[in-house]
Amino acid sequence: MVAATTLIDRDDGFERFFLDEYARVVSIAYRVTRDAAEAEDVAQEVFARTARSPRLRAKGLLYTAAVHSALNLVRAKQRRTAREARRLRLERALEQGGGGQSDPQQVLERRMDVQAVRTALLRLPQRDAELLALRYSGMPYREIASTLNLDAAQIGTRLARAERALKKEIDRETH
Amino acid sequence: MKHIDEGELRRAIDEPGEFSQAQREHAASCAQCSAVMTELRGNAQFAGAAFEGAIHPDASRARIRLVREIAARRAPRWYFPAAITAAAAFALALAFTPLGGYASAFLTLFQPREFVPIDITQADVQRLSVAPQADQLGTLAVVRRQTRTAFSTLESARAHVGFDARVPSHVPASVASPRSFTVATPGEYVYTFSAAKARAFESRSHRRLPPMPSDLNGTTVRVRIGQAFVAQYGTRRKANDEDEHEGLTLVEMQLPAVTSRGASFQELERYMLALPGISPDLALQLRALGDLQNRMPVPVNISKQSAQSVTVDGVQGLAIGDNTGLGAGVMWQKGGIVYGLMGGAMTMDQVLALANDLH
Repeated sequence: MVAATTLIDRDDGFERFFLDEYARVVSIAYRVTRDAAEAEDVAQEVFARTARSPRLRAKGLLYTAAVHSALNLVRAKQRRTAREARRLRLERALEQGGGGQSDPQQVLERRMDVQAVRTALLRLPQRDAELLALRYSGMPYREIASTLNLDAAQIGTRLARAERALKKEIDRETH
Repeated sequence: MKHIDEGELRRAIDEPGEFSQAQREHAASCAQCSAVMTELRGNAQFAGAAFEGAIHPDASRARIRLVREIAARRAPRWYFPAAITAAAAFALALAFTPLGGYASAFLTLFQPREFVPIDITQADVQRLSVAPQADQLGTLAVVRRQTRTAFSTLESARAHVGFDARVPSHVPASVASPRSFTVATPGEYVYTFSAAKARAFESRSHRRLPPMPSDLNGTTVRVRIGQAFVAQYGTRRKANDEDEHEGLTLVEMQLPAVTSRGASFQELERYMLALPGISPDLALQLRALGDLQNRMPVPVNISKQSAQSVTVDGVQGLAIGDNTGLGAGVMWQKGGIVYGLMGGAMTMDQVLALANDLH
């Protein structure tokens, strides 16, 4: 514990970087996870990875890492949910002699609206998911452009395309 | 005035200040631009509703959690030797070729052609801590212990390796020095399951274990681990003795061989996956692996790191990480050698380029 406290406390700018950027990173991750606790988990992961390396402390890197980590988390959760549903179905089938009464998948995915957004984001090209997460966390166009190494003039076009694709995917998921 | 570009119309919705007076007037009077604007506004409102929600995290509380998190990661998270050892341990714990019947003796030589990520979450790790340790279910005898020798030059290390140890032709300048090379000798271990030890564990800990099948009692598993070669580039050791992660680590290991006498694979699998501490999800994933002779499970927290199948060095491998530059690694098997290559501050593309350039 002493070493870790020293690590975060030592005067290499990490403490300031963390306090300045934490809320922004959580907010970006939240657009993808739609779950506050998961968004904070993502932020912890991203900061833990950058804590040791001063040269990795670039905002753009941090923000895109937040989107990637959040997408990974959502992807893994969906896989786990599907496995869990299979297991429950199997157990229920065994308990009821094969006559399942309800679909556990439906029970596990009650929060369909949240699931629909998460699933839609996973289906979009990663660049579109990044753009949407950054924009809807409140980031201005110029900053998005700098984070994604794009020209600010391109952001509007790409955002319009990403929003159209998002709507299509969510419609597909919910209808 | 010609029609306004869709991107500019979209930006005008969020940042109207970027819209010129002439554009504003055109958009108001042009039916076509107005229609596009209406569609874009509708899509933006839809997305806004999908992503809505303010979040106000407590950075001070998060800071305390982060300090603990960093402390918990004293062992480098991306340390491939550990990852490979863990993978091998998993495989060795479970991988006995199903020959059918009981009391059979068999030999398995691992030839993993596919590396399969097994999703291990933090909750799984915490749960595993209550699982009985190997010495509580049996006895491990060391026939030949592995020893490690460090060398300062590649040539001297290669002279002590019984296989063709390959390294990248060029490594990035950021990790070019220092370099160190380690050779581990082969090792041999024998594990014997003991029903008496399992019962003693139950009475000591007041915890129930699944009943050990009579065929499993006395079953021996002999594991022969081959030679290993480890090259480290640019890895620094800090004053507080924590490993710096920015270096490049390459591990090459001869395939392990396992011989066993006693219970069948199915019995072993059923018993071990029923032990306390193994989550249903973890058991499900391990059961689903099937052919463990050719498929090697690799424990990965895929909630945090993406894992994907890649072609590397001309064969199929498993890549873990991404292109953010916060660390990536890849493992594969070729010519009887398991390779692991990890770049602590590299992108996946950089790591793959190095892995494809071993000589």
